[in-house]
Amino acid sequence: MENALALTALNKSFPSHKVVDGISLNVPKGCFYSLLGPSGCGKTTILRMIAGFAEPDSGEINLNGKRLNGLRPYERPVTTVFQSYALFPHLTAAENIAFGLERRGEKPAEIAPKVKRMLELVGLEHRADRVPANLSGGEKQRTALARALVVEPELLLLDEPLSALDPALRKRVRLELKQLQKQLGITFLFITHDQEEALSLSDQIAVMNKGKIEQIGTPQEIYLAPATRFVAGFLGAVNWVDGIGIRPESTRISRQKPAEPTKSTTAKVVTSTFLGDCFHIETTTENGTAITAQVAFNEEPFAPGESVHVYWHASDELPVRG
Amino acid sequence: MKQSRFLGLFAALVYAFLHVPLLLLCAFSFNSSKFTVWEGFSLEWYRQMFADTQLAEAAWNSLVIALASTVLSTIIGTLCAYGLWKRGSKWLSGSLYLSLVTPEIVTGISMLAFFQWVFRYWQVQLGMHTVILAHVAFSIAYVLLVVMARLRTAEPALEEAALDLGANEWQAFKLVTLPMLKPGIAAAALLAFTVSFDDYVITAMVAGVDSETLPMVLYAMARRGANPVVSAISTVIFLGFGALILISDRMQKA
Repeated sequence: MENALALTALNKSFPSHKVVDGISLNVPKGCFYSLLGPSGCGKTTILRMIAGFAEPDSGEINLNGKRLNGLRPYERPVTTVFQSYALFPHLTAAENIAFGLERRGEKPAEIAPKVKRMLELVGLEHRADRVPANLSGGEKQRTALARALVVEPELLLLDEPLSALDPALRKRVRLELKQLQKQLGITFLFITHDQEEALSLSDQIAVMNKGKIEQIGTPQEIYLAPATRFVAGFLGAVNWVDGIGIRPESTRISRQKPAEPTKSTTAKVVTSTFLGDCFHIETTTENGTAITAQVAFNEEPFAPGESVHVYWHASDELPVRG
Repeated sequence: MKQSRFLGLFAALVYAFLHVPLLLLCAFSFNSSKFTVWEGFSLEWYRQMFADTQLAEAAWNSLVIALASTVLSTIIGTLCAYGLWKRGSKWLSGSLYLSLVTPEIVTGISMLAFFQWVFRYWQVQLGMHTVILAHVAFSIAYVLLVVMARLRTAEPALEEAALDLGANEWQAFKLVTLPMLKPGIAAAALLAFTVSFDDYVITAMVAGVDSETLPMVLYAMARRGANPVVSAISTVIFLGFGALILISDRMQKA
């Protein structure tokens, strides 16, 4: 597939430390691409350099064959959905959405239908004349999205746009966001520290740590075949047994010695935590290794102190290299 | 129950202490007697007030000075606040607040010394212009204080959002930052107008013969003994500022 965004050997240092360390990546056209990493890993700095709010110390930023380095933010065909939304407080939802079109010198007669269509697209027709102070969190988020999309950017940057929403709403908006992206075909670069968000939304994920990329791949690839211990641990819980990683949901537990599986060890139950849809049983082996097993909610619970067998299939071991 | 009644009484006393002097002033401005004994209703002092040309001139001077210094200090103070917000500096903002805590008499004397030093090289006299300059100087800190408070609660990404959507730096300031600051700027201007109109100590230091302000004339009149005309003017000033604050409050809510 043709690339929309290409970052080449991007570097950026702050006085105290290097925040972006030799980042190169390609975002295919029409792709929902996520930069996933803990706070302070440099993902926001990369976004700011693409938007034009910061300049890299070295390296190239190219978008559809055009070099963006050195251009002012308003000269780049890129828009941003800010974490805080940054809606203009003195303008209504419709005026916020019209702002970018007006800056492009479009006439009121051209702007009005575009704003109306965008309001419909995000389901805010009935909120067009409200100022941000009178919009709910979800409505603000959708206004911010509409404002950035209406100018038809070549690339949309999303800076943790769901983190200010409450958890129930977040899941619904996530679904809408994905549908919207498919529908419009605009390339999305999504910044998040939430692995569930990245896994459920993305076509491609780049996992970052300390200014570097740890792994690039599809959600399945990075979850099932993490390249590094960091990636394995950041995307979900992992049991590390003699240097081999197994996810709790692949780890079985029983009172009898399992007949057939390949890998098994004896352990003692430490705690059993009920999580609604499952139990998490924490155990320790004789040599002190902690292993957590996930057990279905309707199974007979295990009691602390019980001696058990913990086992898994070799095929479920994470092929971590580094 | 007993305690709350005591608290109510206490509050009533505090409010009385705050407001009774003003009410008395208003009442005696309508008294037909020259002294603080009620003799009957009269508008005599208001008639005398409007007939007094010295008072009219002083009131005009005060208005011109307050308006000019408000416009200048609001523009300078707002730009100062904006600059300090974009590129904060503890020393720069700290030194501006310094003028808020400097005793007025010190500010006044230093201004006078400064003007006299300048006049050695540049043949100008004390007058309206020196009063306006002095007022601008001490009003900036008030404007800064109010506008900074507004900026501190502002969303820092707002200007970036404007740039991101295609506005250049000037458009971002004009279309986003300035409208957002409007209520703060209005409140700052009102405050600047009030402190300028009200000032006596600094004004008395730097005023020339042609630039006597209302507070200066009132002070001189009041010192000559009880004068109901002073009460009448004070009442007018009090009502004028009350109306101004009500209007600005309405405007901010609209």
